[in-house]
Amino acid sequence: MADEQQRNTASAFPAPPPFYTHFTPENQARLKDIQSASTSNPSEDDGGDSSGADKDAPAQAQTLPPELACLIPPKPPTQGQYRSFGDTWNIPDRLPTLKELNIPQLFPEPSGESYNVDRAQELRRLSKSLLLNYLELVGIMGVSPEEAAANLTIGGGMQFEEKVYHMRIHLINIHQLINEYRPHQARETLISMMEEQLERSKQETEENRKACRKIRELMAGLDSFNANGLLSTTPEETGEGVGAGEGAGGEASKENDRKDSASWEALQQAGLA
Amino acid sequence: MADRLTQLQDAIDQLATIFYCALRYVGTHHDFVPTHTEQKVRDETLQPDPPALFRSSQQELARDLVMKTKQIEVLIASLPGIGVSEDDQKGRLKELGRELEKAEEERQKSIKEKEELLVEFDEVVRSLKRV
Repeated sequence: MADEQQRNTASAFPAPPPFYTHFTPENQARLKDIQSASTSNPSEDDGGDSSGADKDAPAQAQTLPPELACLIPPKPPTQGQYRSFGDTWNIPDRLPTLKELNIPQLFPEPSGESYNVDRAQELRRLSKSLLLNYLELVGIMGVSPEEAAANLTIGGGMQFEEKVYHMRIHLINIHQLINEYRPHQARETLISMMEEQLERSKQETEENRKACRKIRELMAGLDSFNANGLLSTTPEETGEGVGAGEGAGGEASKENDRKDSASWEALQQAGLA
Repeated sequence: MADRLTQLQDAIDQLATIFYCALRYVGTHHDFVPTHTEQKVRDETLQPDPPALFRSSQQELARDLVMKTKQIEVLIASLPGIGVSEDDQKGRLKELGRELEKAEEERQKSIKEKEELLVEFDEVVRSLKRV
């Protein structure tokens, strides 16, 4: 059983756990009944997930029939490690340091204010160093790879292998530096996105105000027409249509069009009747 | 387009690939040079390129290598937020959050104003048509 479970968690597409068949509407209804009947203080049960009322749920699970006990989800782990999709994950999730991975760290521990400047410097340094290592590797290979290897086994270790190892360490270090940089970049991206949004929002407000001003002007103009009794429907209307279209944007003008045509219909009907 | 850091990581991976390709190309396509009067060595697993092609391929690989390194340098230089500390960023974020809230309020107000005006305007238009 344990063996089977191990295999299941290790496969890329694990089979569902054997108890999934218990998740039937009947069982869930039964569980709900039992819970509401047995728990004299349901609020504590709800709060148990976050607060300290830990003992409640397991104790309850034990008293339940086994096919119902698995319907209560276990609490998420709060420490240690867990496995998912064949990888081991730490809780809390964070980037393991090179020291933890037993890989020599080629850059100094970050400290203080000039942190990020340092980091760019370190990256530049590491990439140069990587190139130099490659040059040395090509040099070794060019002279005589096998002989260099044979000579150096006496001195302890093959030279080209050592170079390849050095390059590997360099590459890992560079990637580590870049990955440590990611939170910083994420914040920076967020800042620029918020700035953009702010700009958009301000612009929209400005456009709305402009549209309002235009409409007010138009209305004032119409009122004076009205007062003078110089009213002729057709030219006025085209003027309004254009004005509204310019000012309030497509949406507003569409709305106006719709209302205009509605009033036209009403007019025509009135005329016909 | 991917962000700068991902670009940088990709570039470094590509650099490693070029490292390998260059060595492998030289290793599998080189020709042999006879010493003195000996027969030229042959190796069936090797398919030597003609000298001119070999030379130009070598140059191309070297150029790729240098280009990639330059690209990496440029990417490092253009990493976002260099010289800005985490606290600066957090302060800026808070400030932006406040500004955004204010701007959103203003925006809603202006939208409301616009809608009200639209209704008013509509009434005016209707009254015109009735005349």
